[in-house]
Amino acid sequence: MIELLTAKPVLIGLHLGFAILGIDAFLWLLGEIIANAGSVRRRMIAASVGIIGFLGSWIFGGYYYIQFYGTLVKPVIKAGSAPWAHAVAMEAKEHIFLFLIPIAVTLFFLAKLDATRLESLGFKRPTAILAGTAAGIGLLLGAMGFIISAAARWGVL
Amino acid sequence: MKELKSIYASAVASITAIAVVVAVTIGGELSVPFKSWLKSFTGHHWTTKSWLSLIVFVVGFLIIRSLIKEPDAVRTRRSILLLIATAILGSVVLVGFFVFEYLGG
Repeated sequence: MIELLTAKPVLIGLHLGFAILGIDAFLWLLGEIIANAGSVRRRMIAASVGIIGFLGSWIFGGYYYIQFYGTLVKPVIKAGSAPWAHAVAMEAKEHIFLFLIPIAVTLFFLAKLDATRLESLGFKRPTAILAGTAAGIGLLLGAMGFIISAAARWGVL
Repeated sequence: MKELKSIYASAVASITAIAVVVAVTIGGELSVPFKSWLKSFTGHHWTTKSWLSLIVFVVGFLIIRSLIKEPDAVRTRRSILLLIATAILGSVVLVGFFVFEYLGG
């Protein structure tokens, strides 16, 4: 089982899969906030799924990055036609990712407030923007990941 | 309201963690000894930064939450807006820094 989970394509798949789960969960939370949906339980589930998604993506992506990226992928990209994919996209991606867990936890605390309290406290708009920021950063990092993978693929051709 | 305390503490701890990640990342790129020092803790500079971001966030959250009195809604709202600005600015600064570095700056 451990052998399967630590296989390179599986690690990349889990990294991406958990990231998609996190992004979708915060888009779901954004929809709940905009629609003034009444269920606090549903908001908290969305925020919890978001935290789990980003945590899973961090653990599997981090393991792949430490164990394989530096020795196997980075040299190929640097020798290929788009060395900036490592120098800019990967360098920025691995560090911007670290913003996501604190933001996700803050959104979890905000998800505990129901629609009426969010509105009366003046938190509805900032919470919606923060949820959009979490999903947006996740999508930006996803695009960077695609560029990095494509640069590695084209690097060997 | 107990929730405001947690929201405020989490937002301020997040802002601090993001600022530390940006500062330590740029510091590591500008100083090889500093990057090696980061690496010496866990074997990889990124693993150290990952733990550092978590520790700063969790410790910051616990300290702020235990020290502050009940924050009002205006102050809490401002902390959320500042977190959004910090996350966006931090992303722009890091991408800009690595573009600048790649172009030979």
